[in-house]
Amino acid sequence: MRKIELKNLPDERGYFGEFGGRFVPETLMEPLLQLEEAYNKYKNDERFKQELDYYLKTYVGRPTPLYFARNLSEKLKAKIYLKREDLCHTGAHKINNAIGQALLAKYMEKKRLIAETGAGQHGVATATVAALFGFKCTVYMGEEDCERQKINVLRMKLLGAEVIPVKVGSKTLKEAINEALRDWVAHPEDSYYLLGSVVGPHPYPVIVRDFQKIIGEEVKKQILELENRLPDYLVASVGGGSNSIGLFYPFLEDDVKIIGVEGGGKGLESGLHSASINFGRVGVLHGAKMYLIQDENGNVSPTHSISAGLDYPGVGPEHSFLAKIGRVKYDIATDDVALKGFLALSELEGIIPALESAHAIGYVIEHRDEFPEKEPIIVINLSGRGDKDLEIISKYVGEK
Amino acid sequence: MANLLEKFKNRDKSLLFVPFFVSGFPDFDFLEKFLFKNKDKIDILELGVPFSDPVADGPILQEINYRAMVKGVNLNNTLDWLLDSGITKKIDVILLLYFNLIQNKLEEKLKRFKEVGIKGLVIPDLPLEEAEKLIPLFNEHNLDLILFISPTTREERIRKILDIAPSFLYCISVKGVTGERDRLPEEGVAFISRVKKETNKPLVWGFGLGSSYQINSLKGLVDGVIVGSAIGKRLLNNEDIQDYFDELYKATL
Repeated sequence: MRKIELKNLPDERGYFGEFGGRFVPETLMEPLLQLEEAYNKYKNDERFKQELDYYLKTYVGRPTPLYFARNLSEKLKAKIYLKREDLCHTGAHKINNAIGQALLAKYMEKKRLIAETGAGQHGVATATVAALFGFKCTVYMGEEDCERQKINVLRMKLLGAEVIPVKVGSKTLKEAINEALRDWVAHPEDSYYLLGSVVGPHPYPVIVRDFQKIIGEEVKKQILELENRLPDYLVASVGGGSNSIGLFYPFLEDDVKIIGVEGGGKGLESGLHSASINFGRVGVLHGAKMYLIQDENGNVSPTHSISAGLDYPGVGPEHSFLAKIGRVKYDIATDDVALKGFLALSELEGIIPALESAHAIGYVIEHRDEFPEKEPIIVINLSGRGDKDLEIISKYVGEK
Repeated sequence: MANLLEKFKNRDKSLLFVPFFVSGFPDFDFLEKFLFKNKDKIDILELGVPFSDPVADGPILQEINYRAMVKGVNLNNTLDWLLDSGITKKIDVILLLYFNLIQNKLEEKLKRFKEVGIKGLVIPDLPLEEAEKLIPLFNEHNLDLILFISPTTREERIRKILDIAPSFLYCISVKGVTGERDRLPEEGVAFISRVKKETNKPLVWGFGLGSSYQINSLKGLVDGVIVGSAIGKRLLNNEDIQDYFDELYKATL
């Protein structure tokens, strides 16, 4: 297996190989430079680290358990462990990053948080930390996603955030990010842009990864205690890529096989998918060079996934790099496969997963034959819970 | 050598007038007729190529980008139109485009720009760090890469940008996206006054302009003005823009 010098990535300009960088209007360069300086200053600051640790333990509920899914394991003749990020406060891994960045914003003496959200989990996490630390909060959300995730819109409003539906273009996460960037361009002094995934201009992919890598760090400790060895496989869903990089990152230099599962939508032939690595080509969007679903003219193409959280045309630059060098295998799960995963986990384990995570579960069920070990140890990241997706599921099951 | 610097230095009017239009909006025919009719008033034409995600633009230009894009306007047919119509023979044209439209097969595209007669490029999402890697390539193809400075740019960056800018400087006058404003922002005036002391390179005021009064008050401060959203708004409302355009032009004399 190829060894990766993690400590050298990204380089000082935010590049993971050819991916990443900082492609933003000049107006945003100064806030990005300030953010980078603040992050470098506080990430090793003892007071900052202690405060973060305090909130992760007492507010988020970390460490989250590593649960042995006995029934699913028996069915698949494998040892399946689920990293229970669904048990985090607010119901998804997004809170890890939101707490970290909100603290950073507090240390930077900002007054207001701006966020974008797709499925609403990041928006809810941001609205939550805004309430906790006393920030004003504005969340941009595509109009279509507002419709798909009404409960999360209500949660954000209850938490005191202003939710602005974005009515242009595809009316999903891509446009929500555009609007959040425009807001930040206009209010760079008092506002902190709390980006929710490992995308965007440097240093966001690094910051979000660093706040999410606690997932993999905990798994490493937990699996060594439970099995006295590292797992054979790690599997996680990949939209922008924050839950997956959080799980993968601490294992990149280990002898562990890693699989990222992209949203295959209605199938690749249909063109309705969000599989940026499998079916995109190198492009630049939202400040970074990455694999991007685009047409022959360079315009970003519409995407589709049953899960609003995976419905994004790009993928984090670090994932793009890991795909290019072959360290991580990126495959797809269609809406149907995700639905199978969703139902299987609900029925077998009594856990209703987020549709994002259902892609990873469905993938493992569907591809069990491709894991050659007799009884492989497979850790799947259960990045969130499925309450938010019940309305979609009811429609989808009804259509079947 | 830079295409446009001399034009600023040898000008016989107070400000160069740089109107901005989005390619193919409201349609190619209208635009072609309008541009030829007004070719003597246009010092430099800034032509935007529609993009799906124009993050530096405000609502007006966003809407225009979207409408042009769904009608099928793209970089290829924009270049074909410029070549066939002969616009670039009569008017100095610079293209504004987002980086994703050219990052694939970049050299091939730069070559084509030169063949079409384009003088330079404005790439709003290409800041100094990315631009400096590309300037030699642009020079090779005799295309000006126009760099931005903004009121948020810190001193050492401004100095570096002024140093390496191959052409005029596109001065963002406000913290924010494109769009007409009622008043000239004081921070923009203060910022550009400061920059002016540090460079001989021409400065062009972009963002926020919409009236002859505003343009008049910039005389002596900058070397040119860009007007985009204000014209775009009138086109979106199907207004006849000739009188308004003439008024803006006269203010630059």
